[in-house]
Amino acid sequence: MIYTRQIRIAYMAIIVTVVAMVFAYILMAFQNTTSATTMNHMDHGHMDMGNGGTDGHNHVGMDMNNTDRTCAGGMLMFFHTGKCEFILFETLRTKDVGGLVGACVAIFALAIIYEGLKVFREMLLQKAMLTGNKYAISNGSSSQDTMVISNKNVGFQHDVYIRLHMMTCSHFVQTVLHMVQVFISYCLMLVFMTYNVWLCLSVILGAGIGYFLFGWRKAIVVDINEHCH
Amino acid sequence: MEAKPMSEYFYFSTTVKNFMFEDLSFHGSAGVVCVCLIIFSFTVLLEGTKSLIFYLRLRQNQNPLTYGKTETSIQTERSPLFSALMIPSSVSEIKQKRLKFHIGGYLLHSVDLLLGYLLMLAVMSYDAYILIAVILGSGVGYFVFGAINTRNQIKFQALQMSVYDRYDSQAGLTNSDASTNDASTNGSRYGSNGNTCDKTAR
Repeated sequence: MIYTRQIRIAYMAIIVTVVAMVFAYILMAFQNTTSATTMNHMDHGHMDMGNGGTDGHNHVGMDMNNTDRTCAGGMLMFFHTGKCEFILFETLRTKDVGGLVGACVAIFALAIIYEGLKVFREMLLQKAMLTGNKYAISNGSSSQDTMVISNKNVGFQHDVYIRLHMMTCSHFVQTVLHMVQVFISYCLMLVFMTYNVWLCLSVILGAGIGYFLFGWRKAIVVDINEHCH
Repeated sequence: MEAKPMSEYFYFSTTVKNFMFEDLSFHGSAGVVCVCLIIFSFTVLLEGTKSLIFYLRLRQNQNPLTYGKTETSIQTERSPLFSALMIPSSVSEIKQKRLKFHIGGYLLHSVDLLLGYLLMLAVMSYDAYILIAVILGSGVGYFVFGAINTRNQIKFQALQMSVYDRYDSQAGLTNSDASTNDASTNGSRYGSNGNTCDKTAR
């Protein structure tokens, strides 16, 4: 399969849409539940302010009982199996088993996408280096023998190499994908930091299955490139 | 006072309390800009460290016959005898060279780990501005150092190929046979590509 520019763009578009779909799914799944709870919070907050400070403690107690029936306590810094967690953003909050299952599925998909993105970036880099090398060498030398960088026009050819590899479209694409990879890796780290056992398990299993699905390509990519180019 | 994190979700705020040390807090937009600039430079430093580690690995796996060849003197007709003279002759010299490479790799690895964990703790403060600074810093760092990585890899592959091209021509194979494929094919055929392939995509 020859990786033309169109196929490369198609791969990138697929990845971006899958990531966007995952986040959109998360937002849609929790929008209804979280909007109700935030409104409850605001109502009780206003009631507290109105009644003065002496009954503050009682009202805070009632506040907790009414809105957070099963979600008590703040962030626990040890492994726990609860169902109330904040997932990265204030609007994403799981309150029941259904929400937690949805969050686990979304984080599982995100971990698979992360592994796939790593392998995809490496594939793109291999392809870019092959085509870049061919272009530079065939452009700079006339005969077939001068495969090494010629000393006579080392300045020119050296500049061709550097200019080729900083300002090419493929390098920009690699930079953007690198930023996406860094963001996803930090998100997975923060999800793991919720210390929720189910979310941590979904991160680990997602990474494992992602490597299983995409990791075999790392060994093969180099060999396939050598034979058909 | 129990150690609870300051926040459980991303927030945009111009006040960062107890950033990573106990009484380190920033107020106002100037403080946030300073913190973000510092974090940005740390991220670029991290990418630079990874690039240095990659260059060290390339040097470590270099063909001894290419010692002493720099970019400006690649095509000079260096006789194999002179190249062979640059190879350390005694086992103790070889051991010293390997030890130096190992110590250099260890130092760079610890700097890499230190910067990586510092940045992880900075992002763990859940401040959205700091996350944006980290992402932008990694983008700029990869843009600069990723290009340098690719240039170094191609340079070392060309060095490797120059040695084996000469040997092939001396052994009777013509140059056109050895150079019909491109650089990475030859590099992988002679086994030099395997060490550097998996380092480029970090």
